[in-house]
Amino acid sequence: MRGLIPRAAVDGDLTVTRGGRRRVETLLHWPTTLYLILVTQAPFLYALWLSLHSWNLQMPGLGVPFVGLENYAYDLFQDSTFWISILNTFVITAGTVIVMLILGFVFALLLNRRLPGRGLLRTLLIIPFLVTSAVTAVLWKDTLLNPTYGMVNYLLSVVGIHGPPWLTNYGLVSIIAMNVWQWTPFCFLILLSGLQALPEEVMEGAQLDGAGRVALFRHIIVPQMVRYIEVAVLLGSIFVFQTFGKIYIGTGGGPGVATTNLSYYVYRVAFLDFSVGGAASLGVIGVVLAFVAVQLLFRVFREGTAL
Amino acid sequence: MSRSRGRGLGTWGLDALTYFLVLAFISPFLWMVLTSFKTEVAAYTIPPLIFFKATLAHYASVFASRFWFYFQNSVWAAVGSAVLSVIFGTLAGYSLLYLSRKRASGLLFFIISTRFMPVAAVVLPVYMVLTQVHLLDTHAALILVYTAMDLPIVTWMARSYFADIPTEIFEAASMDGAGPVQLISRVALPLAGPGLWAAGLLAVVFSWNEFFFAVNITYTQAPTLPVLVSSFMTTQGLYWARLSALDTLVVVVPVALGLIAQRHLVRGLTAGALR
Repeated sequence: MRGLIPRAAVDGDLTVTRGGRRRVETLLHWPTTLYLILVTQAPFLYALWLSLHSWNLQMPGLGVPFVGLENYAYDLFQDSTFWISILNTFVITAGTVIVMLILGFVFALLLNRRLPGRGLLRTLLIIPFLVTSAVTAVLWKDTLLNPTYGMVNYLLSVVGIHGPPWLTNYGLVSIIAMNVWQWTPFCFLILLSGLQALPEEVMEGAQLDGAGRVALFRHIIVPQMVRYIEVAVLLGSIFVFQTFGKIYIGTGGGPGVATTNLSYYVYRVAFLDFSVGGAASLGVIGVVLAFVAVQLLFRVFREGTAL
Repeated sequence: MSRSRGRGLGTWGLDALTYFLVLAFISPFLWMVLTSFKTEVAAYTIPPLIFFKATLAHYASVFASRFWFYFQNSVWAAVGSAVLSVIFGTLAGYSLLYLSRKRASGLLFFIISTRFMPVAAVVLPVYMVLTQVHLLDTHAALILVYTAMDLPIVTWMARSYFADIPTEIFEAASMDGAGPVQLISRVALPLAGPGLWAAGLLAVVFSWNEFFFAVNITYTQAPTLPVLVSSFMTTQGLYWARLSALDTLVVVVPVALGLIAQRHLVRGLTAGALR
């Protein structure tokens, strides 16, 4: 009888029934588990193998000789573009996450207040997150950031500033701006759900005036929100780490390699240079970096979930 | 809130600021939609035109191009992967509730970590395997890859919706003689239904918007709408109004579905860690 009830619900350990037979429910995860092993882990192992070999698709005559850690040694010690791409990945991720967090918090605080049309405003604010990233890239590159006809430089010209060609002179800033536009709603949603989880008296009190409001914000709201902020930062970092479409469409990684991040560099080495081993080793390094981030993420998750 | 109070001037000021900031933030989107109804000349006019004689010519020309071919490919890839990931993910999410705490936690860690693996690491091996099995540039290839990307999110969402169902309901049902199959089909699925639908919609949105794999593993047979946007940008990037019409058409589906599922977004995005 007890064995029929889901484990999480009764908070006991009911993997096996009294007779010792495995319950059929415990087997239902296998299609998912096997699928993910096959489609994500197996290719990764293949990538590991490839990264230890030299393989250029343009020169099939050379074969696929085993070269040990040569590809990694090249990435780390001889390839300046590799280090630039790592630095750019970091700048894009950190820049996006910091600005997204500030804007997301401002929007969450503003839209947690009671005001007419609040539901509609919340809905509208989500839209940029749902817009296809390829479209975001096109939209920003053309109608917003075009040096002559773009909206941004027009608005700057109204206040007497002669705007620069953004994508060429401030490539990383432009990519960060596109990312911020896409990911701020994501951050807003998470932080808003955090504010909504606060006891109502706190938010009531927060609408008091003057110094009381500041103190409440600093000593009560922010500490309660730490967990939500952490989740937003870590998830945001992991997704933004993979920025690709905006660079592919927006700047082509340039000028030169000024906006090339790790994702775009892997694409370039794999599909433009046809260096299979080189691209594989870059990908593996990317996984190592992401793994560190995931470890951090789960430390946060484990603390707060019902797991 | 029990007491009511008058809205002071400061409150109105904050309200006005809120409206302004939200509209300013989404103005690029509004601008895109507006531009799609302009003539090309009007699209390039400085200062930018807000009032103009609207035209549907760009929508007509986009429809007359190969838009529907790409649209169909997107539908195949997104719906195919969403259906598969909801079926597998629902089973897995349900299964997780019956595993021991330690195993469930370990398995969840594995499942979600696959979503966080940089796609750049696997795109090349996947490309080479697809070439060898002659699946490169097919709907099947996209469905295969997108299902793997959607499964972690769907599984996490499903698990959290199942966990929300009160134990008493399962108890009552099994006292009435319901077996494992009835517990799923008569109790768990109906109660978690809205959440599972939302998970499916989000899976469609994510697959629809995916670009990295789409551009690297499809060419002429199965390219999706983001690939069309990218190639349109290269060949006809100067036609802002027509490009905006295409952009608007491409985002209609994900924006509409995402807004329908918006109540479930937080749970989906945070993999069930936050409610």
